Amino acid sequence: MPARVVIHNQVFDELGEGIVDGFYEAGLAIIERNKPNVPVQAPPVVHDRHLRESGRVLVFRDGRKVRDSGSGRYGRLKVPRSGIALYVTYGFPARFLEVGTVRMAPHPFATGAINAGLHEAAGPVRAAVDARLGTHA
Amino acid sequence: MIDPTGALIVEIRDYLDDNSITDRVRGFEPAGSDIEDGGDQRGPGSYVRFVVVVGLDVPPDIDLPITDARYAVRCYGTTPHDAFLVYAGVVAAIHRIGPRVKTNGLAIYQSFMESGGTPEKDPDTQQPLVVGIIHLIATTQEVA
Repeated sequence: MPARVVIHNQVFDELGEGIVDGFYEAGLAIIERNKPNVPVQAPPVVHDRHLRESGRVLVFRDGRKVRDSGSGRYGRLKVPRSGIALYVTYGFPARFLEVGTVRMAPHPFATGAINAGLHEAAGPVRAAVDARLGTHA
Repeated sequence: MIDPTGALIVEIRDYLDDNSITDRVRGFEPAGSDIEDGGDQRGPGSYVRFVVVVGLDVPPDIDLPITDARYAVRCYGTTPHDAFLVYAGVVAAIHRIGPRVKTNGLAIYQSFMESGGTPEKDPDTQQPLVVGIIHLIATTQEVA
């Protein structure tokens, strides 16, 4: 009798949702932890919010936006068609502050914080998956 | 800790200069107008090619004597196409070159262009540029 493999699609779906939740929490933590590093002398950005408050977290699953800590338009993102993707973004003029312009020296504040935060993302993802699946690490 | 920025700038400058693209490769910010040839910051009609390398994140590893660093490269040209030629030169200079040891003992395990390649304009001078992000894995101490 051939072996039979039963794929629990619902469990895989819940696992994916857990990863989405974890990515979102990890992104929010990056934004919060990086607030003191965001330059305060930057000009106001859209909706009268200052750059420090413009941090935004977006999570996409299979090309579809499933979490968004902000509202309205966001910049150009190369969203993959499959898999789960986390984006941590800042409003204008963050990009020019980060890499500099001809007449403005760079003031990198995002790349380091995001990279460090991604190294610590396993914790929130594990907790979120456990909560979804009812498991414990 | 050895700063890999200088080695990266020299690698890019050597390649671009050898291929007659430009020898204007700067660290942190462009050369000002106080240098002999008028500097890099020019207005419309007198743009020149140049590259600015900016360290975004150069953290020492917590366990190993290495750094997993990110650099931004701003590649300026006279036109959008020209800026991409400069960007392509930078890619050729550093992308997947593999392990090498520099004269100061710095060892670079790998470097590659992680993202970038979209045309932009500088908000100050409107000069066309292409920005790329370099991922560099290097030692933080001399190797034999």
